Formats: sequence, C-alpha cells, structure tokens
Amino acid sequence: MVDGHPTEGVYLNKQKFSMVPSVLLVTLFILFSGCSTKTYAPPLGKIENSDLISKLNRGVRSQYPVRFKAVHHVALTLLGKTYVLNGYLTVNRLERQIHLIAQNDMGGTLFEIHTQGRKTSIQSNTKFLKPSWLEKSVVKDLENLYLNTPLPSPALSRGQDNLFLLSENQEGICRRYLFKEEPPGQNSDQKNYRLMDYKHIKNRKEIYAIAYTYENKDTGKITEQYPSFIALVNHTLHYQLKINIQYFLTPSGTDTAGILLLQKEKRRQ
Amino acid sequence: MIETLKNRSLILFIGLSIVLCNLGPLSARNLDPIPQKRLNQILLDAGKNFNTVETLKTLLTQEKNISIFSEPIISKGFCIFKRPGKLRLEFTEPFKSSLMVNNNRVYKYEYFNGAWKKLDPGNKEIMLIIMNHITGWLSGRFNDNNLYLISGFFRPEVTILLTPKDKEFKKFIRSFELGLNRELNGLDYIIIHETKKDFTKIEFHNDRLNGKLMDNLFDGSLDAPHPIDQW
Repeated sequence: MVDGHPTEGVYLNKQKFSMVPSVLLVTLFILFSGCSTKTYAPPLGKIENSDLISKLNRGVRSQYPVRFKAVHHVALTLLGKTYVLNGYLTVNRLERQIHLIAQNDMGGTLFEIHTQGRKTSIQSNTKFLKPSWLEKSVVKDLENLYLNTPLPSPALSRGQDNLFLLSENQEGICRRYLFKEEPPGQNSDQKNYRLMDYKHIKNRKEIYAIAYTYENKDTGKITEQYPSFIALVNHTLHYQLKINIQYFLTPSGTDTAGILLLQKEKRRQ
Repeated sequence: MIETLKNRSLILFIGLSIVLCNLGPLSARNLDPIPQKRLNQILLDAGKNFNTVETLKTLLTQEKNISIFSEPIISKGFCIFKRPGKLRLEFTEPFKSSLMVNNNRVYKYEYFNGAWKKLDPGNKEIMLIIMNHITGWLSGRFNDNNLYLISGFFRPEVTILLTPKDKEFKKFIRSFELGLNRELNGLDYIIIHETKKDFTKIEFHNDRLNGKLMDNLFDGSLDAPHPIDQW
C-alpha cells in the first residue's frame, strides 16, 4: 500500500516481512482465516483461548495513550495526485474527544474538526473540502485510528510468524485486527502483542485498511512504543494516506487513565 | 474534490491563503512605526542590498504556535537560493520534506517509511505561487501593492508588515511579518499570523551569502533531493 494499491489480501509491510516465504505464509494466513473461515478451511489454527482473545481485544484500544497530542505529517493521494498536509491533533480517548486542525504543509488552516462523544463539528475554510466529504473520510479515519472499540465476540486465529488475527462480521463487514506476538520485555514475563494492521472486508474484498509501522526505518530498530508511520487506504472513497507521526506525551499517569477507560468500558457493557 | 481542486480560481484563492499564512500582521504590541517616507527609502535600500545576493544558504527553525497545543512545535531545516529562479526549501526534523523550484518548475519530495518519494503534487500552482513569493522576498521585493498593505516597524530592527487586501485571503492569514537583518540585505525571520491567535515563526540563521551552490542541488529530475553539505 505504501507505494500503490494493496493486493486483495493483507497489506504487507515489505520491510518487516522481507522474506518471500514469510509473505506467502502471511498472505495465506490472512486469506484463509478470520472472517473467511466459513468459506475456506483455515490452514492454521483457530484459537479458543478466551483469555488471549480478551487480551487482544483489549489491545485494540491500548495501542495509544488515553490522552495525547500529536502532529501528523500527511500525504493524501487522490486520483494520482498528492497533497501534503499537517494535522495538529489532541485526543482524549476517555471522553471520545478529538480535536484536529489541518493545515497545508506551507501554512494556512484548511479545516478544523472537533468530535466529542457523538457530536462532531467541522469547519472548513476551503470550499473544495466540503464538510460532508470530511465527515465521511477524515472523521471516520480518526475514529478508526483512535476511538476503535473492542469487537463484541470475535474469533481468533493463529498463523505463522507469531501472527494472530482477531475478527468479527458486523452487518456484512468483517472487521479484522492483525497482531504480532513479540517476546516479553525486560522485567516482565508477559508476551506483547503489537497491532500491525486493521481492515474492513466486504464480499471478500478489502474496502479499508490501516497498516502500522513502529520501527525506525533508518536504524532498522523497533523502538517506538506507538506507531511512527501509518499507511491508510480507503478503496470506497479512493484515497490513500501516508502519515508520519510525532507524539507529544505528557508524563502524567496514562496507566491511571487506562484503568479509568477500562472501567468506563465495563460500565457500558 | 479533485475536480474542484482543478478550479483555477479556487487554486489561486488557496494559494493566496497559503502565501498569506507565511506573512502576517504585527499584533498589537508596543512597536515603533516607521514613517511612510522613511519606510519607502528603507524598502528601496533593502531592495538594492538584497539584489547583491546571488546565492543564499541558510538554516531555519520553524516554531509553530497553535491554539490547541500548549507548547510550540519546532521543526528544523534549511533554505538555499540561487538567482535567478532556483529555490529549495527543506525540512529535516522531525519530518523530512523538500520543495524546490527550478526555472518555474516545482518538485516535491517527502520522506516516508525510510525512503524519499517524489510526489506528483496536486497543487503545483499553489506551490509555485508560494515559492515565487519567497523568491521575491529573498530578492528584496516586498511592496506588492496589489496584494498587500505594507507598513513598517522598528523592533528594534526593521520589520515589514504585509497585510492582505483580499478578504478571503484574510480568513487564512492575517498578516506576514518580515524581520530584516541589521545590514538590510537579508531576512532574520518571517512570522505568519494565521487565524485566531495561531502563528508560525521561521527564523533563519547561519546564513552564507554568495557562496558556490551547484545547480544539481536544485535538480528535480532525481528520485530524491540531491544531498547537501552540512553547515
């Protein structure tokens, strides 16, 4: 997706999965598992481990701090032309609140979006970026990136290369999260599961995909706690985004905020 | 959206908006206004001095102050200019991004996921307008009476304030503030006063005037911007 269209499988981060056999295995895993299991026999195992399912499902929303600020440096590609924008973003996931100011990379605010709960206000300073289009594209992208909720009762499959696919059909659309298991960190015996991508599949076709990159491509090291690069493609509205991200994190206890978020989520359930 | 983007008038409007983002009005501060007659002379002198600059190589620091952030957002980069018609504006931190103009052709590069990528920008016209404005300022042409009201202040060095005349343009940019250096042959900074209280300050430092700059530094036919010697 980074350099063009994704294939009808999963977006593969070429840097992370540079070995051809790995690519094939991952592709097979994606094609034959998750939401497709009713149609195809999965070559790799379905997992009934409810603790792991629950852990990964919670991981959907623990990918970012509960509150943070970030700068998005974005290349929007639409019908072959690319527009570079900067997005200045504050997120409070506990309150489901996002505030985005989008500027042309040379300066000048193009639009501003503020969501809080179910209310969204959009102010566009340019007639060519209509609020209705922004609502279908940018607002949805922000929700998918930062306000995703766990799946109600997902299925879990395991593939090669420590990949796990969490998926569920909802109203004809399959939502799929791909995680990669990583070794426990220092001072911990808990395995880590990193979200690698998120997709919407409809009639076996990918209609929406987000791929996350955590590693510093200049050093080859996975050093980032949060995604440093995101590639997003919307096949329905025919656009792609490449997003470099700079985070502004405050030292105030995100753990406490995380607990509050989980408590709020349980109350909703 | 693309169709609308292609609308020339809108493009011009956006271009103007962006340009206005890069300039800005001086806000209500205790500044010493320069009388019009003296300002005219200063502009004349500065124009002559700037005209002696054949090449410019300068580092820059951009400080963006935006209402929803409590802290300024700092970006670093450089600008190189070669008369006539060659300009390269490049950011190196935190994101790498390069924009260059070479004889009225615009080239845009972005660094994503470990590699430079040459873009086919959808707003070339806008970029060309912006870059031509910057080239004009670097050449000492500040007084475009068709676009801006021009005034001057001492703070303590000469500061030129360009206020857009176009109301639509003003929705994006309230004014541009150009800080001239003591020698009146270069810019110390540009402040772009945007909407609300947002503003962007670009400071130039470690200027090198009239050094040798190879033409290939502005070559937009390459897959990546030509590397440049460090300062």
